[in-house]
Amino acid sequence: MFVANNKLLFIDLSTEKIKVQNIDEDLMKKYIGGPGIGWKLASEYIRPHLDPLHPESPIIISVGVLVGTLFPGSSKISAIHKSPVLATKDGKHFIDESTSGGRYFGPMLKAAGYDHLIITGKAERPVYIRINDEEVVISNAGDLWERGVEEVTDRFWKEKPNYGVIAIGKAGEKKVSYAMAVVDKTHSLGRAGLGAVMGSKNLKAIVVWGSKGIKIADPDRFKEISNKIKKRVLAWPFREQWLKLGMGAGWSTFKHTQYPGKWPKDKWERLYGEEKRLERADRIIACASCLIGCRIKWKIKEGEYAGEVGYGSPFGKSATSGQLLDVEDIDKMLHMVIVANAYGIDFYTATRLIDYVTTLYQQGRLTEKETGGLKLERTYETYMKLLEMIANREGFGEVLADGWVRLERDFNLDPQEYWYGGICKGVDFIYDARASRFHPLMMTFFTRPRPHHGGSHTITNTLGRTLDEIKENAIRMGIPSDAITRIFTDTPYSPKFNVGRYTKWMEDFMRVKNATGVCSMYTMFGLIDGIDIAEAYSAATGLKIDATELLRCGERISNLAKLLNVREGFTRTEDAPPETWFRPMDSPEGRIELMDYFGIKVLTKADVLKILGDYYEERGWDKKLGIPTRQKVMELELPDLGMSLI
Amino acid sequence: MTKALLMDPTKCRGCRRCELACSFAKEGEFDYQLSRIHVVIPSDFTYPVQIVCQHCDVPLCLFACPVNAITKNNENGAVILDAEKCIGCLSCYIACPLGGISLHPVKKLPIKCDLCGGDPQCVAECPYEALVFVELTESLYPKKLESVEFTFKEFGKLLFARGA
Repeated sequence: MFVANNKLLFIDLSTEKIKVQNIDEDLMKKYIGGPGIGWKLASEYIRPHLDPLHPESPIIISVGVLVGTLFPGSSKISAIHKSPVLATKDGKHFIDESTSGGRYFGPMLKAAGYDHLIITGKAERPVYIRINDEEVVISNAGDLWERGVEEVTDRFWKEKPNYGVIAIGKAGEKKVSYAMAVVDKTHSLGRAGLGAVMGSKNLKAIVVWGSKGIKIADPDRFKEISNKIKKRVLAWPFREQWLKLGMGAGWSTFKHTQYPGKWPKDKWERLYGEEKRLERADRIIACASCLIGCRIKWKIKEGEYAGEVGYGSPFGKSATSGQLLDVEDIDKMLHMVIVANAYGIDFYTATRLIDYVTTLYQQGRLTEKETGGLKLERTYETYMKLLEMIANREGFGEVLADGWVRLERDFNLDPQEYWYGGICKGVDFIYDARASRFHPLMMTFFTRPRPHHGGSHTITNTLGRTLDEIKENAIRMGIPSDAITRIFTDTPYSPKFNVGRYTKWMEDFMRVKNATGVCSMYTMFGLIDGIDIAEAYSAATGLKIDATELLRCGERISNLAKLLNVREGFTRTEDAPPETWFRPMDSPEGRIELMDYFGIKVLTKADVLKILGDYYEERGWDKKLGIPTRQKVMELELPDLGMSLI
Repeated sequence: MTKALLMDPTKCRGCRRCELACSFAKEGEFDYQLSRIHVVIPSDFTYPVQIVCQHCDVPLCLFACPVNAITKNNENGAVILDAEKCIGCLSCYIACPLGGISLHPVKKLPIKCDLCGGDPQCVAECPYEALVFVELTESLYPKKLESVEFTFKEFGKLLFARGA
């Protein structure tokens, strides 16, 4: 087969059994490839109701079909597994996919001859997996255990500078439910707690190197399409700013759309604005084949942490969490990101939990009785102490390491009262829909709670697009005309375009991007659309397919992923929009309420629920239960996973 | 005046499009190993080392070759390896102090940059102007020397990466 290997490398850490399996090429016609087929494997390998940290809970890592080629931004891998983040008080866990770019891991796994990696079982002692083409070795990781992510990654890079490396830090080893797995030092498979799953398997790292090439069905055509997109991207007016700041670009928008509402905006600007970012951004790093580059190497130049460097994308997270925690020194927050990255812990979840409990302590609602004698003062020193305690599951950190729902369960606190972002299925959102407005990505937060780590971004993520632009882009995504009519029908609860209906297609498009390995940065800025991906996929694989048919496959993948979660007990009840959004944000800049994309109307909870209902309707699902119908499952030729659907 | 490859590691972001472009142009597939140019990104992400034939004025590979398979084109300055004449002794590979000659991983024969007949594909695919193909004017000459010096130094370090 062209482009794809259609091979699965299966590793059982308990028995040390390693085998390579061929995957039926025809599956590409139904599931595109990469994590599309990954979900098919998930339906075979993930057993229902198994604890996410049970040895037999598998990790499925898949590489997008176009990864390793010159197609712009094609670097993405996805990890599918059951998330250790507790989603509900009665113990449900969501099965989800996190995605990551990188310079090496994706291209190297593919060059080693595999598209998928399934890891199951539990090693008796700390190990790492080393893959060099056909040679797969499970080795002792005793000397790497307890070491930080960067140190571990560097160790492998000393052996071979282009090893693909996925590593966990202490948080993963200690099974902190929101621990990340870090890819090639600068990227993460985050939010869904892959780090903890690796930790539960005693798996410190996976390193991979491969020597094989990738053949293209129609090389000339592929080059032509790639060149067309390259020309478009190089002419993109915002590219210059991205070349300077990577993901830290766009402060002028960021300061409004990700505003936590505590400080006046000019204060925030002074402490965390573009000037501060420019002084600290040292290098901008690109993923394999990327024309833009968004990762940042940053350097702290002065003060207590002078000389420290970090890798990733620190500016957004340090700015929002800095304001939430009332830390006025950006370098302190950048230092906190460096520490969190070494632990391999999700910075958003950790800092927001810390913000929550320290505030409750200040209000007298949490006392030393609950914290085990710990004084939770609102100081930087306490924040750093708590971060360390979480990563080590020490004292009160043990409770925080299990996230929001554990707090609810143990102390009868309602996470829905937390003031920024919003929480659904136990996961906190990185943006708040009141500041960002209710654009479609916000909706994917509560239908599938890790979208910013799932690549669903489309041009609607940026405010200020005209209705015509959105419509034109939706057509080029491949959305069929009848759905276009439905989406762009004005309703009293979703003015000008129906966010619920749009979201359905946006999620299916996300599946297309992840399956092909195309980065959503490009679709967020309208630089790559469905037609481009379909043309590139057809030229590369030799399978002729158009954008609409790709979306149909995307729909199939979305439904299969949903079915796996329905089997875990997830229904409409768990797709509840966060209460936070319906409480106006009283900021020094005035009152900020939840509004629609165009800022025409204040949205009530009833409005959002109607939008959610339209989402289910557009999906052809049962509106009351919020789950696929038997008819939908048959139409998509999916297995019913032993459930009797209506 | 001849055109020359000019590298600017300070602009390189490590996307490695140059490598894929090279292997695609020369071998018809995307294979980092088959590229004539290699980019090594240091673990602390300072400047990537771009390793490729510099088409030297004094090509040591040419002098090393026992069968005159390597020639220098006096018009465009390109140092060209004639695969037909090559006997695979790897003298050129050993002679180059800049790592400008690669080894075909399967055939174990030397492969090297030929500037794609005046339209180097690595340059065409570099989105960051980290690789350009320009007339080597007097004013640009010091830049060329600087980049070669950088590669020479960094390439040397790479040989000792394990102990670094």
